[in-house]
Amino acid sequence: MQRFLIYFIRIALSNLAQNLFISLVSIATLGLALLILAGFLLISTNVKALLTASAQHLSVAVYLEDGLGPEAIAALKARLLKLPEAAEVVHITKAQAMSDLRRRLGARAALLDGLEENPLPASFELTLKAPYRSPEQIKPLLVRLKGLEHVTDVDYAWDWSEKLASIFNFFKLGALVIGGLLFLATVFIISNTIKLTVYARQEELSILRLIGATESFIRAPFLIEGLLQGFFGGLLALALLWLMFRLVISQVEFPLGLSLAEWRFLSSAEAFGLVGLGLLLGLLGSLVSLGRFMRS
Amino acid sequence: MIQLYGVTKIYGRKAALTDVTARVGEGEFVFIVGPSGAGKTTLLKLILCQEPVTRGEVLVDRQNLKRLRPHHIPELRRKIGVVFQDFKLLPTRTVFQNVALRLEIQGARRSFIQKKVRVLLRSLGLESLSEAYPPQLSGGEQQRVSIARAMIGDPKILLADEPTGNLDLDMSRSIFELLLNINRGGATVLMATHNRELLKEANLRILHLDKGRLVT
Repeated sequence: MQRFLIYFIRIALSNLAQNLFISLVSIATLGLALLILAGFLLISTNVKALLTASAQHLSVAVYLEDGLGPEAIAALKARLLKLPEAAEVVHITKAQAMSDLRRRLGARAALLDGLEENPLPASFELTLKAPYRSPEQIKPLLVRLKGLEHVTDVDYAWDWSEKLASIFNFFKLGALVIGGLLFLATVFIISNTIKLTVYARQEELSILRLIGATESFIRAPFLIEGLLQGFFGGLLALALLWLMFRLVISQVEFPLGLSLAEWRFLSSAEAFGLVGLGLLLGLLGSLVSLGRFMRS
Repeated sequence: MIQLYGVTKIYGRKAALTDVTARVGEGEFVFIVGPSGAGKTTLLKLILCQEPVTRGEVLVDRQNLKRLRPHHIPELRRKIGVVFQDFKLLPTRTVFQNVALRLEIQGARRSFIQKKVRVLLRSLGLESLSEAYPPQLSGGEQQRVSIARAMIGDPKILLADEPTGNLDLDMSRSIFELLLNINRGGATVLMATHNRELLKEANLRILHLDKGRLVT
């Protein structure tokens, strides 16, 4: 088997060398497709980490009806504390809310002077436990909170984190579509590269058959050629991604003071997976061309 | 070694062979002669399992080719050495590699291949050409390389399709001499030829084909 393998690899390499330009084009295309996919994977894991981290700084505001007595407030607070999601519950009175607003408005706080009465509601500030901070979990919680007695409204400081999440989801969809199309294109290009080799070596293949070569002996070098293209494409994608990571992605700064140290590159398992995906695509490409062109 | 019973081969509407019955015994040297289009090449193709028989039976080394499963064809072909008029050497491989190919497909050891190919090339006077590429060789040299490739697997049968077709008389004689030597070594040889000179000199059994039929 080992003897055959050496022979097959030798033939596959010479096939690649003979169609060098086309082979390079197909490796580059594969590399590009994998780069796009891995780039999105990298950004998505980092953004997800960022979103989870940002959720730590945010809390849910539960607004209360005006004129609630201390018992009702205490009962509601006890109820909120019993929620599995709740880490901490802080009561904010109408007066506190107003002073907070004044502080935030700073110089423009004078705008509030004309108000005859405090329009701001009292509220509870509900801090969430770590496992319950993802936007998917917070949404149903908000609905539940809103249904509670004496609660007029709930609010969660989505601001940029939600926008980022929705942009991120949009990009994820885009990556899937573009990645999928590129994958198809890659399989198509690899299968065509190998088809060209098969065409160019038609005479040789028929001679091999005549002197008693088995079909698997004839096909194996082409499969290895596809695998090699996939392997090199995967490595190319990995190298480009790393370069881009060093030069661009890790230099982007996000709000909330997240430092560069929190940006992480692909894990080794993901990197292996990327090269493995390249191998798989290469194999698929050569199987497609061999399936169609070597039925004689 | 080779038996043909009522063999007919039809391409489209044209019969290339019609009702051919013949036997070639083990260790025999038999010529197949006939004008162009008589069916000589077709006959060799059927024996090599390159084409299926339309009607009749072909037995090679006691195997009925009709019952041979496709994945057993390579096994059959390893018993048969083939020599073509146009040599069919791989132009991108050296003489040595062309001859070694036959052993490589069998998965022979590298050291064994090195030794066996070298010995054979030496015995055929091709040793000095072993690193040359086929396009650099003369027709006679290429045909000798192609015979070396056919011989290297010690085939039971050797099929030669007009092996001297592209060569002058002297070269043809030396090629024919080589084939006779292989035959003396025990291989059954079936040689399609146009070469009247060789036929006259050799005095061996001849199968005459004309328009796909065997004529006696």
